[in-house]
Amino acid sequence: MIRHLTINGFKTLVKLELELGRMNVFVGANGSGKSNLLEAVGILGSAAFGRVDDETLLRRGVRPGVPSLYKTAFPSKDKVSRLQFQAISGAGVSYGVSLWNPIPHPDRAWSDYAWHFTSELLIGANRKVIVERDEKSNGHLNPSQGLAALKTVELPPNAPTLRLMNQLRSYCIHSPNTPSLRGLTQDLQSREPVGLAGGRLPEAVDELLATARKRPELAEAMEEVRDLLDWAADFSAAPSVDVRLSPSAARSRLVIQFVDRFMADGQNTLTGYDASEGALYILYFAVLALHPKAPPCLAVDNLDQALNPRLAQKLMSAICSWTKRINGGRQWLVTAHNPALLDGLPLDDPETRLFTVDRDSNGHTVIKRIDLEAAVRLRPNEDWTLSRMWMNGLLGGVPNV
Amino acid sequence: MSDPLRIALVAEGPTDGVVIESALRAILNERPFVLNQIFPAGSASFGELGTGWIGVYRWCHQSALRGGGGLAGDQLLFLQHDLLILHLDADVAGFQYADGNLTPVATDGVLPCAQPCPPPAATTDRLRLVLLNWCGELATPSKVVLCTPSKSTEAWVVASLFPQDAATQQGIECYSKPQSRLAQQPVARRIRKKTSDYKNHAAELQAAWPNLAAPGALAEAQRFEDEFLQTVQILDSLEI
Repeated sequence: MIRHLTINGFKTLVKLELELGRMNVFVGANGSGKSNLLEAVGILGSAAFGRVDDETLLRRGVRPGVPSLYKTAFPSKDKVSRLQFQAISGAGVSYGVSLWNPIPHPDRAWSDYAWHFTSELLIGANRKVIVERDEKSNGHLNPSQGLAALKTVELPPNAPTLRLMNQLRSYCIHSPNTPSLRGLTQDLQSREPVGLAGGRLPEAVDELLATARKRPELAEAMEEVRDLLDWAADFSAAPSVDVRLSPSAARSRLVIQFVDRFMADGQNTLTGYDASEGALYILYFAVLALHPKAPPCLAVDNLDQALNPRLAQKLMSAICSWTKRINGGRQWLVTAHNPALLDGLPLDDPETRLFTVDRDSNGHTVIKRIDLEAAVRLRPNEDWTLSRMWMNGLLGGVPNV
Repeated sequence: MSDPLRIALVAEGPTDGVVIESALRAILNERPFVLNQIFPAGSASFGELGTGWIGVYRWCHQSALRGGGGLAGDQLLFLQHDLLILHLDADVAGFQYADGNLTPVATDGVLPCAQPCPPPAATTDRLRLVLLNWCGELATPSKVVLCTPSKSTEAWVVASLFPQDAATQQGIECYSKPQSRLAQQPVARRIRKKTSDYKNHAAELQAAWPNLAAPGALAEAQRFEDEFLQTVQILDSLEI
């Protein structure tokens, strides 16, 4: 799990340090820099993979851009010469990298669209330096290739160092959309268990239901998923040839199928094409939290889209519980705009962290953790929910409009 | 204290926020800060608190309630903020509570409380006490800075953007409707009392601020700057 994160010089994140928990929720005005934060971790993930270019960034859900858009572009006093990223795990493993892309005149090496590694430092849990690369030692090395990524082939399978590197490599930013969830459009970043936009959802649900039949804790969690779908008695994935579908609908091998609790038997099945989009989002996040093959560390941009406020609140509560108790615990970084979602956070869990994201008077993104314990202790009564505090501006993270 | 400084702002309206932010940029020079205008806000559908001085009145009462009787006790407000700027235009001194359909409670100060101007402080001194009373306080709490432009924030805008205007020359702090001067300028220079117009002139407002807050210039601007810096200094010293 990433415990400490340092980002310097990336977009609006001029200088940022964060202590992360297991579930990290970031709220703030549009344009405050929430997505930039998620993308910064994606860049570190690409570096841990060994190459930072448009392909590896897109693979992680990072918006592609030209060098001048990645680097902070504040007035000269704030200019930075390097983009620096570092993650430290709970076991004390540290991976830091300094990247460079020449502005305004990309050199030949840049022509392959890969960022240059100017320095790398990988330190193991025993404080042993595993990789140290700096500008002096860089001369004979391919600047587009990460050294730490190559070095990890020598690490034993369960080494904490390898664990952090793998967490970073598998990190990606999920941003589901309805057409992809319904299978109407192709997910350009498809993967197991689900694509970043929502592709492959029927297959993932099928796998999850099959796994739940063998694992009681998953079966219990799947019951909780059903509880979130108040109008559906059950759901499953079925071969598309077996269900009633419009001939105009694009058919994948499987489709999601819901049983509507109000409709007459025999006419009460709805597919993912017809069903409420909210149900598809619920299943998507359930897969990310519960599927054995889901990444151990991931981000979701705008978790609350398409969800009724009360459903968003319940879903948040469920996700916090699932990521804590299933599959050994998973780390999520989440952005959201729906205040109700905050009321789903377990306030007594120190591994659940709420951050407000603001732009300071220089335009730099600043992030502050909200002391949830203090917020609860200091509120005059229980009528002051976190959502009410946020909407009343007491927590920050709101636009001045 | 937070780094950057985190400032909550309760102001009558969004345009006041733009002016105060420009002033803060000048006052704090290059020290970064996050300004969080926590009021006006609320639900458009239910009109929870309203805007203008009536909204400030209601916000103060809500904060005092949250704080167990006074703004100083509103620990929830200061959980994420280092200090609060509480803004009220001095022309409110000319109103009665009935003008805002408000029924004052026993602890509310007396309105109207306007006094002959000059000096502007004759009125603003009284109005500041009324404002504090709304918040359940008798004196300004340690993390609070009052901002009471005379007669309104637009006096600061007129003095900043139109220093040669007749009203500015005569003493804008005692000019009864300074906002009227915004439109009574050459076409190319006139502005509307709109957030977008004010934002377009934010750099000019910032640049002019030292002139406004200079000794002998605008008394309320100078008082705001002095009290703000004093509060920040005290908060800084508590960190050591």
